[in-house]
Amino acid sequence: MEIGESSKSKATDEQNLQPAEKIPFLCRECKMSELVHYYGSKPPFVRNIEFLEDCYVMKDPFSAPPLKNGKRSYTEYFLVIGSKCKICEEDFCKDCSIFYSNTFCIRCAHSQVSQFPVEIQSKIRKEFLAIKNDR
Amino acid sequence: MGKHKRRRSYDSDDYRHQRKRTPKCETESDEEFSFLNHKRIFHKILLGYNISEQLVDDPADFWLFLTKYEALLKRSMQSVLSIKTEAPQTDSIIPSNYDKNYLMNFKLKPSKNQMTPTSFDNEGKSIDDKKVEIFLTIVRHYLDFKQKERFKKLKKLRKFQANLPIAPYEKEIVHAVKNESILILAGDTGCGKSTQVCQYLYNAGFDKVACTQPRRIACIGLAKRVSHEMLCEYESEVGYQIRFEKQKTKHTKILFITEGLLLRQLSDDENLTQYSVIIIDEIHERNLYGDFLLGICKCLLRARPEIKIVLMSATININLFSNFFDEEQAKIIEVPGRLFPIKLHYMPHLKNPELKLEAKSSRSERLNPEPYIQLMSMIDKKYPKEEKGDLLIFLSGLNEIQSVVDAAKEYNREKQNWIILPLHSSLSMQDQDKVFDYAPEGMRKCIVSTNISETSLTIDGIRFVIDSGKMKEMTYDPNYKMQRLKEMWISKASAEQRKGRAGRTGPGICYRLYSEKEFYELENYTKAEIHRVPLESLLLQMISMGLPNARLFPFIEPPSIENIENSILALKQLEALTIDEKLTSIGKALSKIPVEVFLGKMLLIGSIFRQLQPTLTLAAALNVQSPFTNRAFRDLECEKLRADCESTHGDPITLINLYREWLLVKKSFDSRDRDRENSRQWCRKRGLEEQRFYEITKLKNQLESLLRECQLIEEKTDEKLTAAERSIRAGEKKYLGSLKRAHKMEAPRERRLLKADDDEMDDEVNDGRIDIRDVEFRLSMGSKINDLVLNATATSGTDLIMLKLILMSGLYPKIAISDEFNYLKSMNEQFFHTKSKPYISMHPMSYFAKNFQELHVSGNEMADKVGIYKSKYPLSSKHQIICYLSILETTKPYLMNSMRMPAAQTLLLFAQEIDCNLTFSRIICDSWLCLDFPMPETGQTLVARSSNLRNRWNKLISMKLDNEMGCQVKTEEFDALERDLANFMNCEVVYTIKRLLPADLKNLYKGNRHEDCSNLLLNQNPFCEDFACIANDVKGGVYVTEHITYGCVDETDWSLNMAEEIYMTEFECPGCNMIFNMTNIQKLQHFHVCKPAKNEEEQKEFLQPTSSNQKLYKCSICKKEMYMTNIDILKHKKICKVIKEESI
Ligand SMILES: [Zn+2]
Ligand SMILES: [Zn+2]
Repeated sequence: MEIGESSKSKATDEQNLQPAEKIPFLCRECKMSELVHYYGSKPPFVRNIEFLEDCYVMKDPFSAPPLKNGKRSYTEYFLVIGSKCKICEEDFCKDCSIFYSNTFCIRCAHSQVSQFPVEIQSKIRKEFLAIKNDR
Repeated sequence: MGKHKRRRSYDSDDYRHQRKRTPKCETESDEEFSFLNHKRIFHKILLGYNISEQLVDDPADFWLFLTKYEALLKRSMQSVLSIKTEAPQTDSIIPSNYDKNYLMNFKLKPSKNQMTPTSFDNEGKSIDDKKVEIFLTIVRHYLDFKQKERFKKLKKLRKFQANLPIAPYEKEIVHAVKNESILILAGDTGCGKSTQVCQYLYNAGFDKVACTQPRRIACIGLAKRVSHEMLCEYESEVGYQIRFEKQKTKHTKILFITEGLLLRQLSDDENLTQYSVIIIDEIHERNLYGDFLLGICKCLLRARPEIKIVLMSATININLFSNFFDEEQAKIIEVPGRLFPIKLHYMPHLKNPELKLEAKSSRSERLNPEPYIQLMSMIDKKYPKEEKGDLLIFLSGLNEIQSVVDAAKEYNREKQNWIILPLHSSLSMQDQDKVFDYAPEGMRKCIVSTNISETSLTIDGIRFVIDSGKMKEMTYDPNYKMQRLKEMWISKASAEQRKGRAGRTGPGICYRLYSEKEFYELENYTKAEIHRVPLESLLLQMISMGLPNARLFPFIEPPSIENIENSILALKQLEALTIDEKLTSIGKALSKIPVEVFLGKMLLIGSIFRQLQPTLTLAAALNVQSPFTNRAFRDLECEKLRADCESTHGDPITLINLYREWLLVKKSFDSRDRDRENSRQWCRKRGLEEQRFYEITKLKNQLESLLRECQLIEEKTDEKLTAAERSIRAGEKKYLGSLKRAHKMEAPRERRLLKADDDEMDDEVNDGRIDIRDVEFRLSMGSKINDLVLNATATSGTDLIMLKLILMSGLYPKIAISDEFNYLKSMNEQFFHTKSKPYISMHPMSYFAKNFQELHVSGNEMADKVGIYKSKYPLSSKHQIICYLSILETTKPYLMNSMRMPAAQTLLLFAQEIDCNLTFSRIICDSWLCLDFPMPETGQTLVARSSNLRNRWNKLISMKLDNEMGCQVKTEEFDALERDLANFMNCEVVYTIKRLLPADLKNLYKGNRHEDCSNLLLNQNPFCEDFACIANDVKGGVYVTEHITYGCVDETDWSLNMAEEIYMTEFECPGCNMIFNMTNIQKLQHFHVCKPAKNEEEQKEFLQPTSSNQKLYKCSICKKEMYMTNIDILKHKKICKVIKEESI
């Protein structure tokens, strides 16, 4: 028996739209696996920013979507899960990679560690060690 | 978590900045430059011109970030203006120089407006582009920080899921569901089964997953949690459906649903084809619907072999379930729980301490709190204050909790290191919530609880558990139709659950106040609900689902046959089932209303008899928990303030009066006027829990839409508002809407730090938060609140009588009679009897407990002696019976929710068996209440009136239900019936009323003494024209209606006297003005046919033809000439003959 829907917290029209196909993401390192809404540098659901490379982006799952006359900004409505390593071109999550002008997976970054400025070398070494110990 | 607080501290910083720094601004050098000094203009940049230009979600949070950022730079002697805004372009993939800007994977692209602000700041200085650029760089850093936080949050969530004890079993579970029909998954609380299994199955490709829960609140909570984990909190893949509330769209793949609702879906879709997997959670709880569902699963597997069933349970009694599904070859997976080690101490010796407290407490029934205090003191000595960990004490009930709480507070007066918190379901929500708050450093919470925290409430941080080994359990006695709340030993399973509560967040200690031997003697499991509750609703539902014989249903543990038979009998009494257990139209309607059957019947009758609104209020009020807090009857002030709402008619009426009063407070209160007493304060002062009134309002609306759906009431007519009213309403709605949005932004109630001297009245403070229940109430009510007040309760006398009769129609045969000696006794010695259970007390919370005299027949209400009639029972027209909602046995049996009714009238309207003697001067109702009417013909008149009213009442109900005339039953008919009912209930007839014992019955009936009853077979039945009298073979006499047996009760000397007197007294019929000597029944018959001649006008009509099939008839006996139909002529001939005979 169905009784009137008494609490509609979400916009009804949105509920009835077919959700767009999602893109699978799998981190080569930690196997983090998620479905994202967008791959690229200009996600249509975000405003005022542009990514410097192509990345796997989902709409921020932890907050309500911004509304035209709401208070939530469109600028923060995203969550980048990861992107391709500039060197090996495999997919990595944000935890298993480092961004310095480009995304580098920790392994590739470690293999080239001396090329990086000293300020971030120790970070690369530390993270590499963490990955190795995890194995 | 700290968002709320951070914002606040930011605000105070801001204030300081403005006061101290602003004067310095004119001379502000680049080194000293702070964006905070130019907040106005940069804030504009931050917000842009509209929401799509706004750069951050929470500007206040950004300013806090900026404050810290600047402070950090300042500490390293850097000016904020010196930070780099953009990293240089480079050709190499790895830039060799270090620049923080290379660490960010996005660039900001604000609108042109934001980049070149044309306005000037406070001081008239323009802000140069460089500063804007620096500001935007900080914004970028902030956004980068925020996106990292979000990513961390996601990772943390995934890590949490991966660490759940159930996670390693994902593959095994998916494999089992794919390859088997039925899986039993056993895992303890906290293993993650309720949140994870549905996700595993969804990820494996099952997309029509239903998961049942025993509790509504769990459906909502789980749907929220699972959608959070599946990152679709703001979409609809995961939904829930509970009674009256649905969050489900066509995209919903996982649905959490209450057991009751899934069962209801079975009547529309008998194989539940809308689901591919059905998960039944918490089957170990063994509640009524869960058990029923297990049987249904067995049937489903036969009807739909491809369906997948997952049964989830705690790790108790798995054998019972696997044996039940032996034939289906259920696969079993066990997931070990995760508990820290718990040290167990049996301490039976503490239970019988030196009787030093015993002397103090006068009542030996009271629990001795001494052992609990000893253990608290031991914890104090043994465990240093710095070692955190709270104490949870399990007791059986409210009184026990009170006595331990009192003693613990006494103990703590010296120690000052405990925070004592009672916990039970009749506490207010606010007080219940306190158990989740933190104790200050160096202090421990001591939570004194019923078994509510055994499974349904989970409190973290418990290190010590004291288990009394006792609980109070509600059982149902089908023979007395009585609920029994009894203290008893818990089961082994419960004892283990209680112990487990100590090891959720760290190693713990459990003290059992009983011996190991006693533990081993405990029952293994708690008794299933099906053995403890009445079964009317379940059986009715089964029959309406097409399971006609409950006696054959595969219950995992079948209920007692007594309970089944008694429930079927009760359904017959409610006229929901026919004699041969078929659904009646009342039964059909009742099965659609998901409330207890007697409330359903009330609603049904209420909606038919145009008392919809007050009946809805009443049904809703009786269906939610009592609004009275335990302070309500202890605090004299509370009682005094409630006095004007008390009704002398009894508790149900008082309840709806209180509700109406509450609505009035709500109506007159203006949320913008802060000084007026609001409804929350109004409730608190009267010892009422406001939440219950909101629940009543909600339930009332839901019941109404339900009745509308079953087409028992007409569609709502549009609200008739004037244009002015509409515009006021629109403005109000807008304002309330803004309040609601503001509430959404408020952080949820956080765990707070408890105060050391937390006492009962401290949350009087209205912390300025929005009362969202009030806002929602107003939004949903709108202008209806006026109607609501008007219609909440019966206002006129007739309405009140109707309302009481409507309630009675659902409650009968739940009636009780006062003990004959009550009038001699004091308040505490008043007793009442029902047919099956003698000596019941009035519940102390009842109106009649204190006002017990209301139920007595007072001296001036006593009538004088009549004729030779002698009785030790008082003769009066004011006898009352008590109808009640339930009998509850605690220390003794109590009548709950009582209402008084005029005795004879009520019995004659509702009794199933009305047995009379020849003069209707002695009437026995339902074989236990005997009424004597010593005044000639008074009993007879009353019976005749009541049977006439019953006929009309039933006719209108069946007309309405069978929809023979649509909803077009004439209002005049209702008006007339209501008027006549009111007159009937108010009529004054003197009688005695006496309770009969089974032994008395033997001597009161003619029985099958083979007396000739043929003279009683009235060829012309004055009670019901179309009812052919038949002999009653058991009691003697004849049935003159379905319920009335005439002449089966033995005569007495006074009744024989009366018969003679009636016959000897000359009778002048007021209708035809003729004089006869007639027996009482002849008089009745005469009235029946004399009717048309009752008044002059009608008589005249006979002198003129009023319809074509009347013809002129000249009676040879009375010599009158009349226009009559053939039937009238026959009738006339008959009376005329009778009159002649009698007159001789
Ligand atoms: Zn990774
Ligand atoms: Zn790589």
